[in-house]
Amino acid sequence: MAKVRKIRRAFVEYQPNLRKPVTPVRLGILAEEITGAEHVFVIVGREPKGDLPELQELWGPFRTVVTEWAGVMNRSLREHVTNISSDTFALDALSERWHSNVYIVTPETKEVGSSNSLMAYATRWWQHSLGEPAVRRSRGTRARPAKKSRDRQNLWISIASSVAEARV
Amino acid sequence: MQTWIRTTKWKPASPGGGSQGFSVECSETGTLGHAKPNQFHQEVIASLLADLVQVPVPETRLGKCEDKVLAVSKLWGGSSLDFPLLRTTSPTDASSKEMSESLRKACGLLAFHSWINTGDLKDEHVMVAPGDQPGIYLVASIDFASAFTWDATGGVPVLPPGPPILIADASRDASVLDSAISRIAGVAEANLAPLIQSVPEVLLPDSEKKRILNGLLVRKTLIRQVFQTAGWLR
Repeated sequence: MAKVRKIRRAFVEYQPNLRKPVTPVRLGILAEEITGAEHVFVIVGREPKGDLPELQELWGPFRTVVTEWAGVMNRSLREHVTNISSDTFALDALSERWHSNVYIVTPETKEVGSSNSLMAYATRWWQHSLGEPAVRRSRGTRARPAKKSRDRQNLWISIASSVAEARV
Repeated sequence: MQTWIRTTKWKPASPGGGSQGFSVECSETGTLGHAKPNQFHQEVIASLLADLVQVPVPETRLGKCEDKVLAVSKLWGGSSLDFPLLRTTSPTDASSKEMSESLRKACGLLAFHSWINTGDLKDEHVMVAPGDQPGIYLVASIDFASAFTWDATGGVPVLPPGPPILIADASRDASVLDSAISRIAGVAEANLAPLIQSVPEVLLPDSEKKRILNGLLVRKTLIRQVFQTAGWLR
């Protein structure tokens, strides 16, 4: 029987306008697993390109935090990694720091039994949450989507990265 | 008093001081807010005072959520970041001359913190929003749950020990501070009392209102000396 693994995960969302709120846009998922003295983190999701209507009024850091959120969160994570203990998920502390327009939804723990990689789990959860692949497959592995759907996809850059491994 | 419901359309800053805040949405207007069920009279009074002396603090008013009265801090701009998140997002913008200029324009907050004795002064409580045009930032202070902590004498104001980004040399402007201190010193009791009285007695007993009002009156004329001694005024 496979050993039960605990993975802490949290979705990242974007609320374009805090004054006139709309349904938040899901940007990605963060996942963390503690293996011995090592914290492993994965970010999977998508970053909007500049031509999304919601971004047209934004400039400077208010735009960067959306269009480059994965990289910014990576830096933020590294800032927090120095302060975590070996048995505490860093994702919770990170979640408290990320609020306002781009924010981390309250983390939850998932128990899994297989030996799949953390990236595989995060990618699957992300795909399931969106109903579309987080990472584009190579050409020819699936049918081309309709033009409208293609146009929509072209507004996003898919990301999937193992962002930090911290030994504490 | 507006009615609010819990929402997941955004997430507020992690509440400090055990205030257990949560995100809310006005059921009539759809406006978003940060509800604070504990220590909320401080938040409301601080916001009213900030309006009175013209320092940037987001509007916080009493509201109702789940049949309870609480403070709701209304969201201040369409987009905003607290200063540490802004620095992580773009260190270049955080240290730009435009940002320093915007911080200097907001540094009257330091006199305000001294006046109302804000205790929890950290950079996470300095919010930045985009101004009218690129390169213009709006800066405001949030979280006053720890304010107004003086005894019946009103205590003695001190130089605020933070927020670090606002007390930095590059963020202070003597003339802005001077103006803010003058506005605070010039506030009349007749203007202060109604603001404090606007909090229902069931939420803030009269004895507490008297203590707060007395402190504000005693302290308002002592701030200038504190800032002068520190060399923060011309």
